[in-house]
Amino acid sequence: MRYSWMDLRLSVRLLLRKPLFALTAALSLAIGIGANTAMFTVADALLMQSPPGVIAADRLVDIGRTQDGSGFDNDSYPNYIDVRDRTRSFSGVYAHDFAPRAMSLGRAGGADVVYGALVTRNYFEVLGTHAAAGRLFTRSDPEQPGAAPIVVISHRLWTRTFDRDPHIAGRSVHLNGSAFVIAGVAEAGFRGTTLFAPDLWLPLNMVAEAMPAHSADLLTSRGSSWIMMGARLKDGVSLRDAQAELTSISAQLRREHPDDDRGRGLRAEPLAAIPGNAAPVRAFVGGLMIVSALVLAIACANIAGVLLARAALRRREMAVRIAIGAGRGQIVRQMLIETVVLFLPGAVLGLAFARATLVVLMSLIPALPLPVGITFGLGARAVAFAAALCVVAGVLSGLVPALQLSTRGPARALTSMQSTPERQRVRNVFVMAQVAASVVLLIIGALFLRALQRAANADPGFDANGIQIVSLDLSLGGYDDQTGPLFARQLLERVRAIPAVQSATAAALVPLGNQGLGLGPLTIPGREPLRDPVDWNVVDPEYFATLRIPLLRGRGFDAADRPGAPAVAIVNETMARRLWPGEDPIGKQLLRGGLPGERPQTLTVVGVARNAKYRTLGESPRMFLYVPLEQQPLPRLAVLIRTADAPGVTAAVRSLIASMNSNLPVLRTQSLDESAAIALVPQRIAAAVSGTFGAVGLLLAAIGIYGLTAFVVAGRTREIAIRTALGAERADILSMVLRQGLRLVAAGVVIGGLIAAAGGRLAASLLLGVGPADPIAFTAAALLCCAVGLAACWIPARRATRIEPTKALRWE
Amino acid sequence: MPEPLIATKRIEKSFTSGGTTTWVLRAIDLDIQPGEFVSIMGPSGAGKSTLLHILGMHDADWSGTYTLCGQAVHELKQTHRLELQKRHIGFVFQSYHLIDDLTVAENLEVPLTYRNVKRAQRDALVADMLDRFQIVGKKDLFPSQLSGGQQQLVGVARAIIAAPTVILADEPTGNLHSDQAREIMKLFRRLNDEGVTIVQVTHSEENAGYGNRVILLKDGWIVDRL
Repeated sequence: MRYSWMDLRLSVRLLLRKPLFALTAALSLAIGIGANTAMFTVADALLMQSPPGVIAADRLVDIGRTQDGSGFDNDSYPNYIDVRDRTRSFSGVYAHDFAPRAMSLGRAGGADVVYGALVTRNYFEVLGTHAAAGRLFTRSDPEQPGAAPIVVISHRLWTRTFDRDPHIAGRSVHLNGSAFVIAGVAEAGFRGTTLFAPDLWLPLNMVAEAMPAHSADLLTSRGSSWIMMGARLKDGVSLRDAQAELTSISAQLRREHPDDDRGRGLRAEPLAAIPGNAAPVRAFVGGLMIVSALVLAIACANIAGVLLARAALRRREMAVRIAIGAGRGQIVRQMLIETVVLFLPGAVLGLAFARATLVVLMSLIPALPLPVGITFGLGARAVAFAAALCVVAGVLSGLVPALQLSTRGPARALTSMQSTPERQRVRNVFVMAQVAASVVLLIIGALFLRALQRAANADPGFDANGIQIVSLDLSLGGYDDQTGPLFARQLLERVRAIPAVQSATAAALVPLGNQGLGLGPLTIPGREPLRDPVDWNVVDPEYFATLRIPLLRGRGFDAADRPGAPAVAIVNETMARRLWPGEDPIGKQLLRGGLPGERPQTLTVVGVARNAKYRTLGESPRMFLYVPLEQQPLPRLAVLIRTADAPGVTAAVRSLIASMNSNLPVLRTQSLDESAAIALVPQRIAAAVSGTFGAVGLLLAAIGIYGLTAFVVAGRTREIAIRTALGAERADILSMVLRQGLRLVAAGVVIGGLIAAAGGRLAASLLLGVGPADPIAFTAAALLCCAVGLAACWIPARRATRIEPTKALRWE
Repeated sequence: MPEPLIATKRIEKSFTSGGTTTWVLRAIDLDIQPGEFVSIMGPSGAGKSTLLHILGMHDADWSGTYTLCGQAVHELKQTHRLELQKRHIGFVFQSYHLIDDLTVAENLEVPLTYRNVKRAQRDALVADMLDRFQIVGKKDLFPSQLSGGQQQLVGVARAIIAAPTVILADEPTGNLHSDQAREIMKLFRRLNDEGVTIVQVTHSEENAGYGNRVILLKDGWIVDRL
């Protein structure tokens, strides 16, 4: 240990003597370690950390419904009851709303928007959490619909709205106009098992109060899939065993309920922030970690290359140390200590860089419509990760130079300064590896940039510029199927009267919100029910004009399309072509199936709208159906306003709504561009991360190429002098040196291109139609690398042309 | 006759390049008694330095037998050779070979760190050596701040700080001017008078005169013993 202190002192002294090298190394390491630490933080928050307040989360599973063997979706309440009662593999099975719902929390002078999740009575007990005040739901709470008007509030809501009132338990509140009693407060940090952070939890049997516009059939209808199940494995029971039992139970349900449960199955997966999506999240985060690992690899290869060069200069010192008694282990120890000391400032700076990276990443994510409970902060685990990475990277980077320097036989080193061919080859490999890794990163970045470019240039089929969205849930204001459309009509009239409003409309779904709406199965009279999926939207008559979607045939909706009048619909081009090829779809009819026991509704096609993008910009053409708002009222409504003064109009609309109904909260306001950007978050993050890291990696590789070329020139001074003396011109020397450097660059580009081509397929689904072997992306990345490589070789190559033979040979 | 401190029998070294074998040392039989001051001389390329590096165990690629202080070096594993080297040999280089990033005091300390000497004892030995060589005032200087003679002085001090049985010196005055060279040789003379066995490689007859025996090498062979 005492001799390590001497090595440590020497290491620090050596660093201080080479401040430029130390700074370059520290900065490049900071980027590499910081990038990896940031990605680790994301991976830790999304995939590894247990949700706060949940006991033994590794024994919890999500249970989702499959359809014809695939998917992971909500299930019905009756199915949940059957699973809960029949299973033997779990000590408790609960059900919950995956995404919390907007609710109106009444208070003096108005209503606040809060987000509540519906959960079964045993939810908190199965998760193992505790109350911070009062109590949580228990199995002894009534199970009959509407019989348990109690609510558990989150610790955050307790702090924010109730000032941590110690007497909170038993206090009355109004939710969506109904009276509830606060039973208790969840423990600090508890948010459930998903990525969302509800403000409060209600018992599932209070669904009618939480979702006023929905019928109580939600608790009795097997066809209504709206809840996600979760469960805790019994001791000694594996996930595999539990899955086998669930498969058997789902087979029983299919036999017992052939209409409602046709094709349905059950699948259990380990608990995840987004149930059933752990694999895609893992893949995406894994991709980001690979990208950041490449950056660190480039930084380490860069430093290892420089250490090797310095090792060549220190061969004599090491030979002397061996000659005066140093063992191999002592030499290796000294070199490794020097490397770790070199890496430490990089690790410290890396934490700062990680924090900055996380801030930038978060800025790429637009405002989400629901409260998210996952945060990406640098905690103790991230710091420990950075420290461990620093040591591992330091040891790996320093190991090769250390082992090379510690070889016995100092005799040659004491008399000769020549760098061995083997050492040169190792440095060449490092440089090629850096270039290859940089090329991979640049290609990935270029592919995602191309994808974003395609998305930006894609024609969505409507004019999204200048559209402001104001989202409402009319049921929160006490409106129903009769009063809701009247309110919507009045609201739209008054919004259109606002001076800065060019046009306004309303719809159930916002375009490009990555959401779908299904209003029942469709059949063409005399034909089989449609198998292909059809998306719907419920719209105001001004929808097509406001969004500037051309109507190609027939007419739009108008005031005559009211309740009681014949039900009408407008189809898009794809639907018209597929259902009535070569025919005029105007006047054709569709039968819309209702709930069991209801008569199907006949829809008459009155118009054909131009195709548009409905869920995402990258989607393939799909069948789409519009129905008028007056004939299919839904509580959730998005008011779409075309205006050049978004802030002013938004404020005016908020005031207008408050004046019309002070109990109706505005759920969210956002531009259509921002709303559509949510679907592109993975592409934006991937482009930003890989593009930035690719540029950094290329810079580091350029430094490596420059250093290596300069070193080679210095080593070949005598040879160059002799060649010049024998008649070589400057161009000859220049091309000789450039060829050597560019050979490495070219090899690195080819290797990197092959790796990117092989790996690009893994990201194909995120590229919005851009091919994973897109020639433009590959060519651009290759050309950039070659240009940078040429620039890096140029300076030492020019220096080589200035070697004067007489001076160089006299020195020899 | 007491047992020699160093005894070699038929030490040979060669290297092969492009199918041709080049001999560096041929059939070197050598006995050096304790307390001797031996000079190895000969023209350039005679194999003098090579022989010295073999005696110093810096080179393991040779054949023959080599006994040091009664230990058969040729039979020892690398680890044991290293131990033997550390215990008995101090080496002085022609180019001083001080470690540039260490001060004079730290350069003196380095051999002791490789011999498991405790901190307090190391400090004492370093202080003693600085005093003995009258370079206390230079203990915090770096080699680049010293003259050639001063650097070689430190090199010699470093070689003897661990109290070796034998000092091997490879052209110790080769890079010094005559006054400095004389001072170094007088130092060697004093050390030898104190009982330290010295083997030096030298071109200089004047330097060889400080010793009591000369071995002449030519083309790898011992051609004369004076």
